[in-house]
Amino acid sequence: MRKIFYTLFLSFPFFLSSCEKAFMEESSVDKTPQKNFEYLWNECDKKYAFMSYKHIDWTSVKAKYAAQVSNSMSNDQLFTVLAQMLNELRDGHVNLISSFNISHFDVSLLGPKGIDERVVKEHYLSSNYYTTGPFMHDFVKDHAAIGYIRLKAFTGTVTDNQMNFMLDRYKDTKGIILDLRANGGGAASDIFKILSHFVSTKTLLYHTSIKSGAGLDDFTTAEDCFIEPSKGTLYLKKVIVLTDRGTYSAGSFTSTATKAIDSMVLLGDTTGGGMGMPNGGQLPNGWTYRFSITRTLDINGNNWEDGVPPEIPVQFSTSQAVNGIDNIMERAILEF
Amino acid sequence: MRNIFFTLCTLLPCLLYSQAPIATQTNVASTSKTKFIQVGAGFDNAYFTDFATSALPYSTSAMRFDLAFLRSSARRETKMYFGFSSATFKLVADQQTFGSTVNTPYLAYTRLYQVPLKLGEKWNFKLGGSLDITGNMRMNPGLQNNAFGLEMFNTLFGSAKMSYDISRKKEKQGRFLLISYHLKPKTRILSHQLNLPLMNNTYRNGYAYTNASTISNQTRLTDGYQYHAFSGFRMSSALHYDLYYPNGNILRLGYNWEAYRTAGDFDRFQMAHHYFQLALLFKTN
Repeated sequence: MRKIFYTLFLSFPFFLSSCEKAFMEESSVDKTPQKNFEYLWNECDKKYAFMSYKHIDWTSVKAKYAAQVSNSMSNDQLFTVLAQMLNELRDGHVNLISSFNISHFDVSLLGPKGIDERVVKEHYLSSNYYTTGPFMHDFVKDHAAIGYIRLKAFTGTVTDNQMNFMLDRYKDTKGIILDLRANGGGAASDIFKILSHFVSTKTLLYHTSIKSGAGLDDFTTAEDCFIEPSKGTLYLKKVIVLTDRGTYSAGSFTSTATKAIDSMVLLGDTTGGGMGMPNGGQLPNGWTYRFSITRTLDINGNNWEDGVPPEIPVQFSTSQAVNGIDNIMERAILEF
Repeated sequence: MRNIFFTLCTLLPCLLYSQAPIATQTNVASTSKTKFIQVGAGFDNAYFTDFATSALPYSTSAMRFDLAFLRSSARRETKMYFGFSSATFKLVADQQTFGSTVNTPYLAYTRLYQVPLKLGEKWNFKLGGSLDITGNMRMNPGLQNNAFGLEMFNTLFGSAKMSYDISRKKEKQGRFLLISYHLKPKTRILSHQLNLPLMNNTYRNGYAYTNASTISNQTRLTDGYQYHAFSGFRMSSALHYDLYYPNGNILRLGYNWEAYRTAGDFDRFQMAHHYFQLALLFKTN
């Protein structure tokens, strides 16, 4: 009797815990191509931010690619089909990531090349150009009244001290060229750190909202994005911001924001866009993915997801670059 | 970390013995109120699935530490519990290992009252309630902008605790195979507490999981998070074997199980713990 009691008493808690599966949803690695296809399609269907803006018929996309999925296909084949499906979104913020490949949609290839950095270094800067944090900068060669600041990526490491140093150095110039060409983006915090040195009052840059439901236009109420002027060095003279198709994500956010700052002018080619902040997730087979889930509109309500247009459009001339001329730089210099 | 745990396991029972050897008989029928400070640690086998970011289970076997203040008698029992675990939950998939670092604080207050059932003097049955608050702060870099996850569960439980006195009242001598043994009287209590939810509330991310605060020049980690009352489910149980030392201190071996999940329109979060605990209860009065 005592043994039965002990057995019951001791086994009851373990019995309870073994019943946890009764109210826990089943979850396990599942490599079935059909299931992974469905999962990814559904996630995009529920949360991708630009279905409506880009006029994407996601149901048709499903029909097109579901026909290519079978449970006998290899991982590589499945990856190719899923990547092609994602690229129907035409978004550089969309990737499928596996242990053997990372899919991408290269927006920089949608337009011509916009910069030859060697030409800039060799013909527009001195050999002793400065490198301050992520910035490369100098006075423009033969145009000492113009400062040149190049930022190749938003590394998340921009500081007020770096900005103060650069803007103090160029405080007596007529203006600055801020070169964001071939800048693929990065940390948004850099945008605000940089732009706060170019405004004298609290400035509304743009409006942002995030998906809040499965409906195509289900977004949260738009949130205003403001910057306050920096307490460090302010530069309120003219700034020409150079862009090209390789200016993406944080580069496009910065470009959009310049439309709210009177002293800043965009020059070059339309940016690559990428105005939606991407999320992150994992398929049942372990691959990870990301796609855009936010929508940003400029202060006039324009959505520049497909690229921010410049006020002064100039296409890069490869033939002139061969002769050491950056025609976009030349056009920017004319602004001062 | 493990070394510290094993050192504690080895030394602390000795410390208990080394204290003033005042013989105190405590059992399920004792009506005197005894206060304890409980220091515990153990291995927590746990897993979670956050369906909002991944349909896959992340699991771990990690150290958990806890501290509790108890007041206990046959008629009434109160307990204030603090616990903490920090671990990297892992998932092996696609020939890779994904890791989610999870920090979990626990806070609970339990109050139980004896129900006078005629089960015999070896039995004690108590009913009452428990308010448990648990939160998880998770970081999984593989999920990129959805790397950060946070959820909080606060639950009002209806609790039932059954205790049974399995003390050895008399000395016992015998022989097992060729080895003779001599066992002294010992106070031992076996108990099982079951907690069923009366009200479960959850605090969890919104529809999009992450938020847009980073691109709107604001830092609001939990922007878009939602609090849901009477939502989800949570259940727990605790099996304890308590061995009383002559001075009234207690060595406790425990198996604590807990499972919880969210509900509502959004993708679920679910988590289960199997916590094998070794605790020392120091009598303070």
